[in-house]
Amino acid sequence: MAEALQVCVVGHTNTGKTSFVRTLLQNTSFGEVSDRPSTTRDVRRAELKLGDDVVLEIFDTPGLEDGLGLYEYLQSLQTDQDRSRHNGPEQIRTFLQAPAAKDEFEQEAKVLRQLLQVDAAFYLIDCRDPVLPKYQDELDILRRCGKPILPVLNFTAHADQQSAAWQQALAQVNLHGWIEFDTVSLPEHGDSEIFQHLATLLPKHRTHLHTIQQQRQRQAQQRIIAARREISELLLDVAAYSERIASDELDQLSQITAAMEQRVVAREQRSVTAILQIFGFPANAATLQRLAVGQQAWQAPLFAPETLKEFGIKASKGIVTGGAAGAGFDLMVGGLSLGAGTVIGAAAGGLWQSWQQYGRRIKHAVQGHSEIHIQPEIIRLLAARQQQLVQALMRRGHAAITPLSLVNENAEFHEPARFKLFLARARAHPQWSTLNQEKFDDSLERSQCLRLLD
Amino acid sequence: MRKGLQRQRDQRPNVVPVSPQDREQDFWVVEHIRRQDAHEERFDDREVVAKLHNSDQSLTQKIVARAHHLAESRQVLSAMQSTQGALSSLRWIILGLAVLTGFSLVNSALMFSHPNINVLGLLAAVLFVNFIMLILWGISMVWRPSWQGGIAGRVLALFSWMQKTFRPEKSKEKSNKQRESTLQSWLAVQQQAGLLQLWLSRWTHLFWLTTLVVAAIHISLRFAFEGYQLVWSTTILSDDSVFVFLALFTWATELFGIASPTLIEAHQAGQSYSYILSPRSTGLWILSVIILFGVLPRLILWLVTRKLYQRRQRRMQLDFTQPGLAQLIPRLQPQQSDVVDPEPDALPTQRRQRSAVIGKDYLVFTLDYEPVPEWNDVFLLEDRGVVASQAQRETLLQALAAKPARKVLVRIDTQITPDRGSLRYLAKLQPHCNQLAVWCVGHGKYQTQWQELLAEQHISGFTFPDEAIRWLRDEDIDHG
Repeated sequence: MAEALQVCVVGHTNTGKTSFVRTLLQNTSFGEVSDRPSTTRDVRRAELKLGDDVVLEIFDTPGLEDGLGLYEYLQSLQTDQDRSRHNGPEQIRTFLQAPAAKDEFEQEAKVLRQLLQVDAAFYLIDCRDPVLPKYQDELDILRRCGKPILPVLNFTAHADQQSAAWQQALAQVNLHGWIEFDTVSLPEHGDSEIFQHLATLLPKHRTHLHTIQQQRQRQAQQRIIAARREISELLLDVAAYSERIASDELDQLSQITAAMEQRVVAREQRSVTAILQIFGFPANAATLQRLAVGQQAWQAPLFAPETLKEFGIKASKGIVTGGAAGAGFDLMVGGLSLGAGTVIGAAAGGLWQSWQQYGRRIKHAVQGHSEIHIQPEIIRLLAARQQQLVQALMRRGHAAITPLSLVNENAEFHEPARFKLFLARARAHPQWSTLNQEKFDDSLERSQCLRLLD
Repeated sequence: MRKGLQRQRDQRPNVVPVSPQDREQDFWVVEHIRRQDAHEERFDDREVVAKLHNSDQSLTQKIVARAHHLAESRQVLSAMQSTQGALSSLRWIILGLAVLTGFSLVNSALMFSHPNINVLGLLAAVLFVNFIMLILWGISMVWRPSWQGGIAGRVLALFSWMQKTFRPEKSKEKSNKQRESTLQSWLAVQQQAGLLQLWLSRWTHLFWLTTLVVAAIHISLRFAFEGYQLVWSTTILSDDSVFVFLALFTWATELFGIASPTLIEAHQAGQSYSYILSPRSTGLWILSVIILFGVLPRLILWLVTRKLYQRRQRRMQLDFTQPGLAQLIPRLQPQQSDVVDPEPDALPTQRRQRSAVIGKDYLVFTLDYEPVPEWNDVFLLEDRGVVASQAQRETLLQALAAKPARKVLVRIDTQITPDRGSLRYLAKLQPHCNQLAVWCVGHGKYQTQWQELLAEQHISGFTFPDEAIRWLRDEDIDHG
C-alpha cells in the first residue's frame, strides 16, 4: 500500500466537519459534536485504516468563523509592490507570520496552516444555509492555499436544502466538482463517490484512491455478511429453542411461555447489539418495539411432515453406513462371519438414525411430555426486524444522534423452501440453540443448517 | 503439536506464527474462544484488549494474542492438548486398522483357495474394494462433500460421538465440557479453511496405502515361504473373458517392463488358460499389479492431498465476518487519533465597549440574511435592510460613527449558526449606540445558541416580535 494520503476537513463552523470525519472513520466516538459553534478548537488527526494499513490521514479542523474579517485582513497585508500578489500560498504564509494569526484569527490560522501541509481538503457546506458573502470570502481564502478542494454539500436529505444555489456559487469560484453527501443519511452507494471525486482532483494518487474505494466497498460487504451471520445465529437459536411440558403441568403453560418470551427478547437484543457493533454504532443507537408474543404464539408440533421427509434420507444413510461398516468387518474376518456383520451393521445403523431422529420425541411422548416451540411467524418477524436494522445501518451516518426505531413487519424469505427446511432441521435439534445452553452443541451440522439461510 | 501450544504460551502476547502448523494452532485457539464469545457468556477481556489496543501488531496477531490470553485463563489450552492427544491416537488407530485390513484381505484370499490360487480372484480381493472406495471418494469430493466421508471421516465421527455419549456424568460440568467443544472447534477451523476434506482424504489415502502395502508384503512373504499353484481358470468365464480382464492389467506391467509372456503367448497359440502357470513369474507379476494399480495411485493421491493440505494451511486466514470476531475489529483496531495543533487556552473574546455617545434615533437592520423579506409590512419601521458583505458592514459602522443611534435592533436568522465574526461585529456596533438588542428571528435550530452567546456579551435578545418592537418603542416589556 502506498504512503497515506493527507486530507483535511475545513468549512464554516457548525457545518458538520467532525460528523463527516466520524462517518468516514465509521466511528461515533471521534471528536466532539454539538450544535454550539467553536466545538472543535484544535486540529485533530485521525487514521483511516484498511486492514492493518493506514491509507488516509484525516485532519479535522476548527470552523472558520470570520471569513469577512479575515478576507479584509489579508487584503490589508498586500501592497502594490507585493510579489505575492498572485501567489496565494505565499499570502497565507505571510498572514501566518502576522500578529493577528496569534490573536483574533488564531482559529482560522490553525485551519490555513494545516491546509498548506496536506494533499487536499474537503470543504464542508451546510446546504440548508443560503449562500452568504461570508461563506464566499471563506472559499476565496481557502483557495489561496493552492490545494485541491472538494466541496461537500452536507445535509442534502433536508427539505430546506439549497444545493442548486450552492452549486452555482461554487461554479463562480471555479469549483465545478462537488459531492452531495449527507453525514446523517448516507447515499445508497455509500462513500465511494467521495474517493472517486478525490481521485479526479489528485490524479497522481488515483490508483491509491481507487484501492481505498474498492477496499471500503469490500469492508462494507463484509459488514453485511457478518450482520447476516448474526441474524442466522439468532434465527437458529430461536427456531431450535424448545421447552418441555408435562401433560399434568398444562396450567403452567403461560408461565413457561412468558419465560421463553423473555429469553427470546434478550437474545434478540444481544443480536441487535452485535450488529450495531459490527457497523460501529453504540448499543443505544437502536430501539426495538416490544415483541408481541402471547400464549397463542407458541405451538407444539410433533412429527411434522418436513421431519418425516428428512428422516427418510437420514435413515437410509444410517442403513448404508452401518451396512458398510459391517461389510468391512466381514471382510476383515475373512468371511467367517458369513455376512452377519453387514446385516447387523445395516440394522444398527438404521435403528441409530431412527433413534437420533425420533428417540427424544418418543421418550417425551412416553413420559407424557410435549415440546413447545416458537411459532414460525415470530421467527419471520425477528428476521424482518433484523434485516430492517441492517438496511437502516447501511444508510446511517456515524454523525446521526437520534436512535433508530425498528417496527414490526413480516418478512418473506427469498427461498421459502429453504426456510422450511431450516425450520424443520432446527426444531429436530434443540441442542443447536444457545437458549438451551445446558445441552448446547455447536457441531458442523449446526453450521450447515445456518448456511441454509445464506 | 503439544510443543506448538507450549511455544505460543511462552511467547504470548507477541504471537508471531512461524510455521503453518503454528498458524493452524493459533486459529484453533481463536475459533474456540470465538465460539464461546458468540454462543456463551462473553469473556471479560477488557484487560487484554486494553493491552493490545495500541500495540503495533496486526489485527490477526491481536486476535490471536487475545484468544491465547483468554484460553490460558480458562484452562482451555490443557483441554486442547488433550484433544490433540486424542487426534494423534486416532491416526494410530487408522493405521492399525489399515494393517489389520491388509493382512486379513490377503489371508482371506489365500486361505479359501489354498493350494490352487486363482490369480483373478486374488487381484479382485486385494484391489476391488480399494478401487470401489476410490471411486466413492472421488464422487464425494465433487458431489455434496461431507466431513464424515471416507474411512478417516467415519472414525472421526465415531470419536466425536463417543466423546459426547460416553462422557462421565461429572464431565457435564463446565470446565470439562471444554474438552468436548475443543474437538468441535478443531473441526470448524478445518472446515472453514477448507482443510477438513483434505485432512480426511489424506488419512483415507494413507489408510488404503498402508492396507495395500501390508497386503503386498503379506503376499510376498506367503509366496516366498509357501508353495502355491497359480491358475487363470474360473468356473464359468470363458478364456477370452479372462483374457479381457487380465489385459486391463498387462498393458501397465508391460509399460514398466514386467513380463507376463506366458499368458499372451499361450493365448496366441490357441492354448487354454487353465494351464498351470509358472508360479515364480506370475507371483512377481501379481505383486507388480498390486503396486501399479493399488499402491502407486494411493501414494500419489496421498502426496497430492498432503501437499494441498500444507499449501492451504499456509494460506489460512481469519474470517472476520464470523459472529464473535466481527465485533472485535472496532475494539482491537481503533482508529488512532491525536491532536496536532492544540486548542488555545482561551478563544479571543469580544471586549464589551460601553457607549459614550448619546444617539437620538433608532436603527433596525438584518445581519447576513433576511428569512422573511416582507417582515416590515406590518411594523413599518425604518429598516436599513440586509447587511451581509464586509463593505456593507463597514458602511453601516461609518454611518453610525457619524450619527450614533439611541437604539440599534439587529434581526438575525436563527437558522444560521452564530459565529465569532457576527459577534465581533455586534461588539463593534456597541460603542455607536446607547442600547443594542438582537431580534432572533424564526425559532430556528440555533436559537438557543444565539441567546446563550448574546447573554455572554450582555446583549438583549428577543424571540417574539412584540418584545422587540416594544423595546424599540420604549414600551415596558413584561418578561413574565
